[in-house]
Formats: sequence, structure tokens, C-alpha cells
Amino acid sequence: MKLKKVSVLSIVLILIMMGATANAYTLKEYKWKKSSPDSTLHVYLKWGDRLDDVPESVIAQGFSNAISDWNSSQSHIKYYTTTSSSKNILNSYTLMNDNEYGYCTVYYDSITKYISYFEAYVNAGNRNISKSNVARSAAAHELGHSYGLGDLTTGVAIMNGNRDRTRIYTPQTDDINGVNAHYR
Amino acid sequence: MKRYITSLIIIILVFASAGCGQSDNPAENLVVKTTYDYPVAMDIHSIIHESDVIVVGKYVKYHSSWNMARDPNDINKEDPNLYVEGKVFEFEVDKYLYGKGDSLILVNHKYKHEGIIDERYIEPVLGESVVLFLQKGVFNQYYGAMQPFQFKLKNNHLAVMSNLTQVKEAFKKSISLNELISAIGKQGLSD
Repeated sequence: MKLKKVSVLSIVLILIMMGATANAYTLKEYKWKKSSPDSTLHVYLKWGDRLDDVPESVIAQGFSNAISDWNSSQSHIKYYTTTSSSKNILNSYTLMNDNEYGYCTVYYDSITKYISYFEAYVNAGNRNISKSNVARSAAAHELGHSYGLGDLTTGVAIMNGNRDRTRIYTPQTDDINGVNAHYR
Repeated sequence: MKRYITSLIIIILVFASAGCGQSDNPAENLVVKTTYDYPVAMDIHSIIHESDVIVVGKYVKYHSSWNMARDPNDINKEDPNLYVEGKVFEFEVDKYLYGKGDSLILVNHKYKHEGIIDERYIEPVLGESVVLFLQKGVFNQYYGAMQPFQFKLKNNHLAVMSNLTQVKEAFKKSISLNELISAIGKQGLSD
């Protein structure tokens, strides 16, 4: 009887652990091309015309913090801002009368699926964008797409559209697991 | 020997021209994929919390289209570099479940981003009874508080209207109008 109880408890514990470590991330078909799984790819990003002369703006700061957050959480792809020429753009737009926080457009090769470049935007017209950490959350989410992460609707993740953007504003464990899996 | 060298030169020229051809039009090989970040709810309480008004009524008429992308320095002007089409509809309010407003309001829907139809867009059906969860915007318009924001109302029950698979799954069990009114009351809100 005691052995049966221990066996049942063990099975329950194993199932709980499996649930706790289950990944929710989704991956897009595109990715950056790295020379090897252990290498680091350095990618340069340029400020768009709405952000290049306002580095102190909420959205520019959001992007800067998001770049730093992503760079410190994984070693596969490192982003840097540059004043030199680059097709990778960080910018803002002003969309009124919609709850959209931002968007990311990725251009990738149809055959190899390797990313050529991307453009990430955060919406200055969203009425929540000036609230604490919201711009940073939106920027981190869009950069997540540039790495090849897809959207989620559940879980503690920057890629979750259901997240509280004032509380979840940095890449979470699930997001980082997704990037690591994508570039293994 | 001479024939061998000639053949080798021809082979080299063929491979060189093939390499040039591949880089001539790199844009033709590119896929363009755009994804958006917008708030998504998995329960009715989240949508209630985000709403300025919650209304029962029906769309009665298409009003107009406009460019939702605006000049950041003056929102009365359009963004000259981006076109995001919004479709505005007139909505006749039968009842405000939360908030106050006019009996005829304008509701904006994001329709297209640079010519591509938004995945969230559902063409309003005129005359059909619906419940909308809205936020107040500019230019005297309202817009959806989050996804989903529209529910068909039939036999006093709400059925979600959404193109998003996970949202349809989360709201597959319909909620009654009385349950919604009770939920609004529990959040400390009232009409």
C-alpha cells in the first residue's frame, strides 16, 4: 500500500515537472544565417526617420532597452544600433483609433529562409505607450519576431499578446528558450 | 592542350555568368512577412477591464474610409509615407451596459495595412444585433478595446466574432447577457 502511494506520488510529481518545463514558444520559418551553431552573429540596426533625432523619446528608449535585454539573454544574435547604412530599421509610426502596439516586417529568402533584413515599428498613437515599460515591452516583442519567434496567447512570455505590458517587458525564459532552439 | 584550355575557359565563363544571374534581382527571391502586436484577451473580464463603453446595438451604415496612420506632429494630417485604411461604420446603440454616450456612434475598424487586409478584420453585418467593447479614440470615433471586441447577440447569449483561432477556442462557450451584466457589476463598473 505504501509502495503504491509512493508510486502514484512519483508519477504526479513527474507530470508536474513536465508541465513546468514545457515550452510554449512558436517559431517562424525564417532565421538569421549563422556560420555555426556556436557562433554569434552581429547585426546592425539603424534608427528610422521618426526616431533618429529623438534618442530620449519613450519609443527610442524602449528599443534601446529591448536591444540590451535581448543581447544579455542569449549569445546567438547580437544587435547594435549604428549611424551607418543598414537596411534593418527601428522606427515609430502613429496609428490612431486602434489598440495595436507595433509591427515587424521581415524580408527573407524564399528558398533558404534566411533573413535578409527587417523593420520594426512601435505605435506612438497607442494610448498606453507612455505607461511604464509598455514601449519597452512592445519593442522587445517586435525584436522577438526579428529573431524568428512567433506569437503566443498564453504563458509568461514577451511574445504573448495577452501579457500585461507594464509587467512583462523583457525576454522571458520561454522566449529565450525559443531563440536558443531556433539557432541550435 | 589548346582544346583543353579552351574548354576550361568556357566552363569558367558559364559558372561566372550563372553567379551574376543569381544576384541580378535579389528582391524577387524575398518573402515579406509582417506580424503585429495587439492585446488579446482569453476571458471576458479582461475585455471589460479595458473598455471605456460596452454597448448593445447594431451597425446601420458604412460611414467612410480614412488613413489611420497620422503625422506624428499633427494628427489632423495623414502620414505621407504610410497608408493604413480604417473603415468607419455608424452604430446605433440600443443600450449602454457600461459607460455613457450618444445613441448613434462611429466605430472604426482597421481594414488594410499598405493594401493587405488585417487578419483581425471582420466586415460588419448591418442590422445584426451585437455587443461591442470599445475605447474612445480621436475624431469622435470608437474602436475595439482589444481582441476580441465584438460578440453576436442571439437569444440573449453572446457568441464571439473573431478570426483568431486561439480566441475562438477561449470563447467557445457562449456567455449570457445576464452573466455579462453581472461581471460588469462585479468589476465595480456600472452604466
